[in-house]
Amino acid sequence: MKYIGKSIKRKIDPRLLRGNGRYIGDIKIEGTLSAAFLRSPHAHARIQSIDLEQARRLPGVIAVFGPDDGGELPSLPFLFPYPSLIPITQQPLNSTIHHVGEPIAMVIASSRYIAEDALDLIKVDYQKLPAVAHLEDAVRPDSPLAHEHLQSNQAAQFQQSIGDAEAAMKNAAVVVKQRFKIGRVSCLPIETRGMLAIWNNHKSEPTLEVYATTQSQHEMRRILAESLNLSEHQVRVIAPDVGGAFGAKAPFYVEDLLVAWASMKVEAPVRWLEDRMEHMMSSVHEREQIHEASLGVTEDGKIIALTDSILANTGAYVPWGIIVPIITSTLIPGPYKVPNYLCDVRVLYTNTVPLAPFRGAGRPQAALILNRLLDEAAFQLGMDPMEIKRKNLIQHHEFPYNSGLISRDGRPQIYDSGNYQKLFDVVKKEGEYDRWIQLKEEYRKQGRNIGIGTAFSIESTAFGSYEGATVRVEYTGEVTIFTGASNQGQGHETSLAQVAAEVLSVPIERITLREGDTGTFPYGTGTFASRIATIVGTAIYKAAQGVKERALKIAAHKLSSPVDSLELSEGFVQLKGDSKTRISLGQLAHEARGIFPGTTFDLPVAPGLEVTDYFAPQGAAITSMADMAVVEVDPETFKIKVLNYAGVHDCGTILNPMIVTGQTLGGISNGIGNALYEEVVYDSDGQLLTSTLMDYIVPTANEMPECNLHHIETPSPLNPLGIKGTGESGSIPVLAVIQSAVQDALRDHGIRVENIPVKPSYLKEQFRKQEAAAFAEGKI
Amino acid sequence: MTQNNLNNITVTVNGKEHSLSVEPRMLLSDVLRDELGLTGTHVGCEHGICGACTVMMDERPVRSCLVFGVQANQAKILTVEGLSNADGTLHPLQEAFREKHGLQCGFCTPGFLISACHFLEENPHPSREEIREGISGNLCRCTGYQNIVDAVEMAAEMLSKDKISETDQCTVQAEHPAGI
Repeated sequence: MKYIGKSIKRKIDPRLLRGNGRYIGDIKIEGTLSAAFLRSPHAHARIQSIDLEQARRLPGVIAVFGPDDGGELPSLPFLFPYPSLIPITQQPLNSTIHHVGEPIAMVIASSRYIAEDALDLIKVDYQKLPAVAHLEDAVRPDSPLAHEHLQSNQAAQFQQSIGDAEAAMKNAAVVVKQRFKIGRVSCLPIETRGMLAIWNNHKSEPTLEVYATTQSQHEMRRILAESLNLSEHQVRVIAPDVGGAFGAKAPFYVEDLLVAWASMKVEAPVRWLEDRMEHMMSSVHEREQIHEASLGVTEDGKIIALTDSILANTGAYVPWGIIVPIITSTLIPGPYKVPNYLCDVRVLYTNTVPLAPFRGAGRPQAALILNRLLDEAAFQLGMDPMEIKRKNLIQHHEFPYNSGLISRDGRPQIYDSGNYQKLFDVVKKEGEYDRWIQLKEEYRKQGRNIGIGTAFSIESTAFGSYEGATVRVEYTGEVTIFTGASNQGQGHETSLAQVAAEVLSVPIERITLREGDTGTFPYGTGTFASRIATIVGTAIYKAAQGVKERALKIAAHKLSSPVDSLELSEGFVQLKGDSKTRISLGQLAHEARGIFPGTTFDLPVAPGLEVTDYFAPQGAAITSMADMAVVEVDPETFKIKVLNYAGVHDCGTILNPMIVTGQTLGGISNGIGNALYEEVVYDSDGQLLTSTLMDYIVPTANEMPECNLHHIETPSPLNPLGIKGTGESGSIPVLAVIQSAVQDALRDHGIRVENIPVKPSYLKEQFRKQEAAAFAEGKI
Repeated sequence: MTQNNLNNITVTVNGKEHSLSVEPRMLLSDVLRDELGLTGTHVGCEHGICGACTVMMDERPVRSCLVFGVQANQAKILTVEGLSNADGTLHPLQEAFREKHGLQCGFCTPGFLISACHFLEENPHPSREEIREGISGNLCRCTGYQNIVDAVEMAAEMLSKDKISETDQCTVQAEHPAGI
C-alpha cells in the first residue's frame, strides 16, 4: 500500500496553525445579532411569574422570549426508543424547570454584552419544588420525584443475561464482590457549543442556513425541519471547523431549536456561543453509575459466573435514549469468556443535566467492572492479576465470537475478530511488566506505595446505519470527495483522502475532502461511536473503485486497448508498465462529461467521472486494547502520580498511524482526567457545585504521564479494508487500569478502592474509615 | 455595543497600529476578535483557566479574556496571526506542531503556540519535564499533550540551530500582513 498505513501529515494543519480556522465564532455576517439565555438557578421549580418588559426596553435589545413563547415549539424529538423506557424530552423555555441551567428565557440583542445586560433585567418568581440529584436518593421509595407526573424516578429497567448466573455462582470456588461508584464527567471540548442561524425570507423559497457545532448535521437538519415546519430542502446545516466535541455536540439541544427559531422570528442572523458555565450546566454529562457486582471463579481462576446490579443516572431527560447503560450492560464481559452473566439495570431520572454518550460511551464503566473483579479474585487465589486475565481471554481461533448477548441494534452481539493473546504478549513486554513487579517490591521496601494496574477491554465501533461518499474527478485532475461526515479534529481530510489516493493512485495533495455540510452531501448519520474511518472510509473506497472502473473503461475506449491492459498511476491511466501511453484523469473527466453541447455521448459508461456510493455495515467492528499503568501514592498527601503508562491497541487496518496514535493519546488523557481528577458534583438538592474550571479539574500536561503506545492490526472481516474504529478506545481501559493500580499500591494498607475518580480526599477518607473500624474493634 | 462611555485606545497588534473606541468593559479577546477581525485568538472558558485566548502583551503572555481592551492601550500585542513569517512561512513552532501532530481540532492551538513561544524565549533548552510545566497553563482535550511536548522539544532544537532565531521569536519587528 502506498498511502494507506502511512503517517501522512495533516492537510488542515497549516491553516489552523496560522489562526485561520473558521469556527462558529469566527464567521462574520453583517447584521448578526447575539442570543443569550436566562437559566434556572433551581433544580426543580415552577415559574409563577416572569417579567420580560424591562429587558425588552433596554436599548439594543431586539426581542425577548419567555415560557409563553416556548409553547409554540415542540418538545425535542425522542431518539433511540427502548421497550421499557418512559421517554421524557425537553420542552424549550418550559415553565417547569427540571435542572439547574435549563433555559427559561432568551434575549436577542445587537451584541452579547447587551444581551447579557438584559438577562439581569428579567425578574422571575419561582415556586421551588422538591428535587433529587443523587442516584442513592433517586431509588428510595420516598424520594422526591424528578418529574412530578411520574410514579417513580425510574426511567427504565432491563436485564441482560447469559446462561444462569445465580445458579452457577453457587459452584464457584471463590466469589468476590465489589461496589463501584463512578462519578459524572463533562465532555468539555475547549470550543463550547454554538450556532449561527440565518433565516432568509427573501428568496422564492425561504431558507434557513445554520452553522452549528454539531457532530451530526443531517440529524440536526431533520429535527430543525420537523420542528419548524420546513421541508428538509429549505434547511442547510453546516458544521464548519469544530473545536472538539467528544459527545457534547452529538445531541440536538433546545438552544439549537431556539436560536434557529429566533432567527426566523427576528428575520436576521442570530448567533449564540455557549460560555463555559453554560457548558457545565447544560451540555450533556456522562459516566455516572453505581454497580454492585459479584464474580465467581474456579480454583484455577476460570470465570464461572458474573452478576451486576447497575444504577444509572440519565439526568432530567433522555436526549439520546439510554444507550449508555445499554452499552455498559452488554460490554461488561468484554474480551473475557463469561459463560453465565446476569446484569440488572435501573435507569433513573434526576434533576440534573441529561447524560448522553461522552467519548467511550458506557464502555469505560464496563471495562472497569470485570477487570477489577478479576484483580480481586486473583488476590484471593494468590494468582498474578495479569495471569488470571490472560486465562479468561477469548482465544484467537474462537472468532467470530458470539457473546450470547443482544447488541444495542437488537441483533446478537458478535465479536468479528481479534487477537487478545497478542495484546497480552505485547503489553507485558512493552510495559515491562516483570521489571515493574520487581521494582514495585524494591520500592515498597523503601516505604513507597507503588501499584501496577492492568486491563483488557474492547470497543464496539462503527455502528450503522450507513454513510456515503461521492468521489469526483475534476477537469484539472484534482479529486474531490464529498461525505456526510463532520470533523471535530479527527483529521478526516487526510486519513479519508488516503483511501481514495490508494484506489485511484492520485497524489494525496491533489485530493480535497469536503464534509460537514448537508448542502454538499445529501445523507449521513454523524461522527460518533468511532465510526467514520470504517463506514465513510469504506464508502469512499467503494465510490473510488467505481470511479476507477469508469476511468479504465473510458481510457480503454480512447486508447483502443482492453481494460485489463491498463492501470492507474499517479493521476494517469496508462498501459501497464508503459508511462508513455497514458491519459490523465483530468482529460478522462473532461471526456466523461461530453465534449461539446449537442454531440452524442459515445462512451461505454454513464456520463461524469463521479460515483456516489454508500456503506451500511452488517455489525459492529470490535476494537481491542490492553493497557497497563504504574502509579505511586504519596503516604502523606495521598497524591497519585502515574509513573508509567503502556498500551497496545488493535483497530484493524490503520489508515494513518500518526492520527490513530494521536486519537489514542487524547483518549487516554480524557481517561486519566476521568479516573483521577474530573467530577461534576451536585449537592443533594441538585445545585451544581462544579460550574467552572476552578472546581472541575482537567488534567494538564503536568498530570499526563509519558505514554508508551503500540498497535497491532487484526483486520475486520466486516469491511473490505479491515478497518475498525479507534476514536474513543484510548479512554476505555483507563478507569480500570488506574483504579487497579491504586488498589494495588494500597493493598498492604487494607484500603478498598471503589470510587471513580480516585481522589486524594477519597483515599484519605478510606484510611480514616479503616482506622475508625480498627479502633472500634479494639485493634488500636 | 452601545455608543456611550467609549474610550479611545491605540494598540499595536502584530506590528500594525490600530486606533479604536471601545467600552471599558470590553475584553481584549473581544477587541481582537470582533473589532480587529483577528479570530485566531480563541475563547474557551472566559475565566482564565483554559489558556486558549493567550496572546503576548508587551512581550509577556496574558489571558486576553482577563484583560480589558482599555488596559491594552499603548501596548504591543502578538497574536497567532503574527507568529508566522511575513512571507507566509510557518514559525518553527508551527512547523514542529505540524510535524509532531501537536494539534487535532486546533481550537486550543493558538494559545499553546503563544505560551510555548514565550516559554522557549525564557528557557531555550528545556527538559521534557520543564516543557510540561511550561505549557501547563493551557488545556487541550484532543491530543493528550505528549505530541505537544514533542513539538515544543523539536521547536527548541530548530530554534537553537537557527541563528536568526533570536529576532525571529515572539517579538514582531515590522508590520505584519497576516490576518488583518
